[in-house]
Amino acid sequence: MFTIKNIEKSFGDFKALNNVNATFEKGKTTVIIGSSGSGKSTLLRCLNLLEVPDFGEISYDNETLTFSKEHKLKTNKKLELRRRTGMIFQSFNLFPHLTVEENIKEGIITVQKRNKIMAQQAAIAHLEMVGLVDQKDKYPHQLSGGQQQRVAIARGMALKPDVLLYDEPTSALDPELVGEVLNVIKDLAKTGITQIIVTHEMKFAQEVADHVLFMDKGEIVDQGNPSELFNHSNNPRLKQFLNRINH
Amino acid sequence: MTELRFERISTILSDSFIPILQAGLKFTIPLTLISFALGLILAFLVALARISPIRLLNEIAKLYIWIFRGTPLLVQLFILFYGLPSLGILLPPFHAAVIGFTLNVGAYCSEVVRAAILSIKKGQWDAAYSIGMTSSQAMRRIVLPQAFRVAIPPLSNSFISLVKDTSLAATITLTEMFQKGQQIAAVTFEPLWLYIEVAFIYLIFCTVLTYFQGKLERFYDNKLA
Repeated sequence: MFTIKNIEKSFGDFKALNNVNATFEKGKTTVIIGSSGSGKSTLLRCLNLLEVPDFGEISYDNETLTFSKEHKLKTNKKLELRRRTGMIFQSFNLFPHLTVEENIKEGIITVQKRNKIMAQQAAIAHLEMVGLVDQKDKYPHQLSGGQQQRVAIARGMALKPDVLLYDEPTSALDPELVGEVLNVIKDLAKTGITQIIVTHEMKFAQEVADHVLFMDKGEIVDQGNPSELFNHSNNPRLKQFLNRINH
Repeated sequence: MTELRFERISTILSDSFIPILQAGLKFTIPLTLISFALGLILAFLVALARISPIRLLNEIAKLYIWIFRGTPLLVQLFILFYGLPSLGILLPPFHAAVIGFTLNVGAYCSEVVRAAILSIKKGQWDAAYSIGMTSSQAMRRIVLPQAFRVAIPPLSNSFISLVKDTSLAATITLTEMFQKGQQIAAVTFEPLWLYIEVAFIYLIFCTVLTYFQGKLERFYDNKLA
């Protein structure tokens, strides 16, 4: 379980996150929706400390990290949290100088210090999971966007994180390639891994989410299970957002 | 040109070719390779200092670049070789040349290395951090290999410049190729042909280097997009 309390984050004068509280249940898929600039990507990046919150707390297992302007977070605490999370980016961010297989092995060898044979086995197993074993010796630029994103998911999964974070995983894809990536994520949801997904794909959100958070102007404005939230919410800001998306 | 004169020149050129080439192999090439290798290490450290958030390192690096880019290499060599002895520091010509060229390469190439590192997209750092890498692992394993490809053409430029700049070492008594050519020209009274010969040998060196630059680029391009 992942809990965040009173998270605040500003960029200069812009307050990206304002007193955000949330709990992410173990083994569940949480989807974060909201318009551009609502703070959903910033929230996601705070969860693995690619952005360090200005204030607040992040708790996982028995560990609690407290943030404040006065005291700087220790690097090893930062690394510890990052090593329990995996992240999938909008623009894939595969390492272009490494093959598909090497992309997956890199973290296992360099970060987890496991041996090469174990790394190779893990790479092959996870490529099988996303259906791309036959592409293992190619370089990222030789793959389609959808394939690259599936490799990125395999790279994240291979490190056996407690939670996978997706930052708009299909926004950079051609429409016909979106499906293959969403299918992988849906399959993963069934395996019982914890996932937190920022997305604009509302249909997908309804299908895959156990829990949905709606953000607006740096705050979580409404939350609940998908059918509640998408069909029966009384929140005017959410209604307005859904109306805009559907037209 | 009479046949006799032609014969004289061709004898001088063929007799001098090997000694000049030897001077190149003995001094020009080692001087270039050692200075460039040390210069690159220095350039990398200076680039890191320039990128670093530590203000003091930043300022020291800027000061160093400012001085060594803003003064003539020839004057730097003279200060090292003819100037330092008055402070009791006596450097053999080869050492003075290596120090001078290294400092010079370090200043110019540090900006190339810095630009190459900064050219790597932030997403690569994000991805490296997201799999749990430390900053130095991310730099070493992810950013530098990609930055290196970006830096090959400008670094090759500096390298080829350095090959030719080593001729300045002649002025601090090092018998490298140009100095050797001067010596032979002085006794044969054929400066035109000898200096053309020296130029030709430099040209061969640089052509070979350019060829390897191309190979290196293609090697990396096969890996990258």
